[in-house]
This record gives sequence, structure tokens and C-alpha cells, in this order.
Amino acid sequence: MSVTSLEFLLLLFLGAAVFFRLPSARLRQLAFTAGTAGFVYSYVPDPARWVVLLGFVLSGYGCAELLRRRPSRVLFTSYIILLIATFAFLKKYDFLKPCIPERFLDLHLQIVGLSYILFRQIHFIVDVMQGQIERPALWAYINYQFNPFTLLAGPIQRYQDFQEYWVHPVPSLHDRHAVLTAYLRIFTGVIKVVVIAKVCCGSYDGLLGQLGGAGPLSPGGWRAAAKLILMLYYYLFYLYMNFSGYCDIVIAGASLVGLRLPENFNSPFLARNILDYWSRWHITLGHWIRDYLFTPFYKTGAERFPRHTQAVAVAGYFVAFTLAGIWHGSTWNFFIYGLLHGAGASAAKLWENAIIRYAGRPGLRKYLRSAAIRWAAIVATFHYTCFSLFFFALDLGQGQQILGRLLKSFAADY
Amino acid sequence: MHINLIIVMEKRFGVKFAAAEIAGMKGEDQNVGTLVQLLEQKLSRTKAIRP
Repeated sequence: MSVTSLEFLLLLFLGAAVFFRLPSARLRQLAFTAGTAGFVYSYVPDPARWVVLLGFVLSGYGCAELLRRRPSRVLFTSYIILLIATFAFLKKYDFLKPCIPERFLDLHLQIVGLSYILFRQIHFIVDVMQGQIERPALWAYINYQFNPFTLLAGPIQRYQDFQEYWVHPVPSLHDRHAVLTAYLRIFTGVIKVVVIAKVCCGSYDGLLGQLGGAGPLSPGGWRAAAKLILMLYYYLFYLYMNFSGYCDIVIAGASLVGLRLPENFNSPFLARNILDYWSRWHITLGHWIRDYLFTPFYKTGAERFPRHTQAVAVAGYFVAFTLAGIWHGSTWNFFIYGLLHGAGASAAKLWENAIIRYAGRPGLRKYLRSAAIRWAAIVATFHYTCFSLFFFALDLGQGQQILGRLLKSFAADY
Repeated sequence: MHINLIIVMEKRFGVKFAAAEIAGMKGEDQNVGTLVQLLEQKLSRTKAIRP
């Protein structure tokens, strides 16, 4: 059941209309669980996948309970390794193919939403282990993991915020204007996903067909290069409209039943560097990468090598963004996508440090205030993210084919 | 809050900040006062545990 489908929207509106008429928190929790179960069942109808999915999720709760009672670094590390290995197996990562027989990888156990379940699970276990979640409840945890508003593609909500709602499911929209604004946001989200994203996707597919087809590229290399750039623009706008529209629907939909979800987008095309970009695009993922990958890596490295913190930060950006790139998909192109963002983030930090070294903090402030520099940085960042999408939209075979044809086209021109 | 400041404070006062605590200090409404308050809480807990 897609979040833009009529069934989902009707069920959401009906559910929202009766949800706060239920007299107690317990009844509201039961209604939420029933909705969650129905939603998950629509995506995972066969029992084998239910078993795998429940095993994956419940193992996290079991491990967290053990760690809460007796914190153990060995147990924590072993579980995280096992969890990521299981995730990689279920997602059929390319790098597993030489190591695991094909018949095991073809078990057809792919499960929707697993990528986001993994992030929530790691956050939950780390926070329980560090004493930031004191009394996790199994029912709340299951609803947190399978919450229909965040199951498929985020936003990545913190367990603590969900638990607060779960204990006191009260309305978050306090007047008619707020309710109407939420409905308007859902409507806008549907238009973004169903109309604008579809148009962008159609244009992208058309250009991909021309650039990646079997016939010769006509009429020349420069025109073909312009088409490639236009194709990446379309892809970026498709991704933005599709994902931000989806987020509009789920954030506004959740607010109708009192659940506040974190925002996921904040004018990403105005980012002035890659670090800024990840604080504007898929914000909750950017924060997750920062809090659970980059910061622990940097802290550990900087404590061991206090004289080389800049090198540690660069290594941290590469590690964090490469892992985040791999998380996006199971083929090698996502590895390159991650590396490009690691390089972009490192360049942004090194550039900032260089300005501070040569011009001091006042120099940096002056640099940041300059409108001309700001717009140049925005245009450069926009095109760098477009370029990186070449390795997001296309697998290595397709990318190689398009670049090969482009080069041949240029060679024919000269 | 700058991560280097947190590292120095952890070393100086012998405390550890959790990932969620560091994340909480990144908000726009957070400042050095928030960090000091959190540090005081941690130190008072440590004192309570020590005989």
C-alpha cells in the first residue's frame, strides 16, 4: 500500500477522524498497532518474511535488554557485526556474491523498509547501552520499528521521541488552521510525488534511452554532454520531488494522529558545500551519519592521534559517507557515490580550515558574508551533487556505456 | 557544540558523553551553558557513586 494510494489516504483520514475519539491511551495504542500491522502486512504478506523481519527486529530488543542489564562491549560489537552481516545478506550486496553460493542469495527474503529498520536498531542499541534509553518497552519498540509513517523511507525518528508520544498519544494540532495546513501539506505531497516527480522521471527516462541506447548518438559530442547534464538535473529533481513529497505526506499524516516527526528537507539546493547539503537534504540521515558514524570515529581517532585531528576528520568523512553510500544500494556504484560525498565533505572542511589559518575567524566570517562567494558555492555544490548522482542513478555498466558513447561522439566530432 | 571541546572536557573531567547527548548539544538553541549543566550532572552522579 503506497502512501500516495487512495486506500492509504482514505484509511489515514478515517483513522485520524476517530483516533482521538477513543477514550484512553491504551485504546489509541491498540488502534495504532492495528493500523501498523495492516500496513506492514500489505508489504510483507508471506509468513517466511514475517519470521525474518520479526527475528531481525526482536533480536535488537533482546540485545538491548541484555546490554541494559549488563553493559558489555564484546556483546555490543558482536551484535552490531552480526546485524550488519545479516542486513548485507538480506540486501544481496554485490561484494557477497564471490563469498556466498548463489542458491543462498536467491532465497527471496528481501524485505521492504529494512534499511531504515537497521538505522533505528543501531541507534536504539547504542542509546540503551549508553544509558540514554532507560526503560524500553517491547510494545513501544515494535510500534516504533514498524511505524507506517517512517517504515519505508524515514524520516529517522529517535526512539525517545516516539516513546514520549506512545505514552501520551494526544493531539499535536491544536486548532482548525493547523489541521487544514496538515491536509494541504498531504495534498501538496501527493502532487509532488504523483505529478511533478513522474514528469521529471519520464524526462530522465527519455534522455537515458537516447544516451544509453544501441544506436549512434546524434548530432554531436557537446550536445550529448548537455543531454547528460540535463538528464542528471531531471534525476535530481525527480529524487527531490519524490522524496520530499513522500516526507510531506508522512510528516503531515503522522501529525493528524498526534505524532511529531522530524523534518527531512530544508532548501537543499541552497547548500553551499557538501556538509551543508547533508544538513538540508535527508536531514535525519545526515544527523544519523554524524552522530553514529562520524562522531564516534572522530572521537576515537582524535584521542589516539591528538596532533593529527585534521587527518582523522578527513578519514572520518570518507568512512562515514562511504558507509552511507553503500547503505543506499547493494551495487558498487553506491560505493563510488559515497566516496564522492566523503571527498566533498573533506574538501569543505579543509577549505574552511585553510581560510581560518590564513585569514583567521574574522576572515572566515567575511568570506561567509560575501553574497558573490555564497552564490558561486551554491552553484558549485548543486553541480557536484548532480555529478555524484551519475553513480546513484546508474550502475557501473550503464555508466560506462554512456561515457563510452559520449567519448566516441566527441571523437567523431574532431 | 564543537566535538573537540567535548573531547577535551571528557579527558579533563574523566567523564563520557553519550552519542545522544552530543547530538542533543548540536541544536541551535544549545550553548556552552547547556554543556556545563550536563557536565555538572555527570560529575554529581560520579560523586554520588564514589564512596
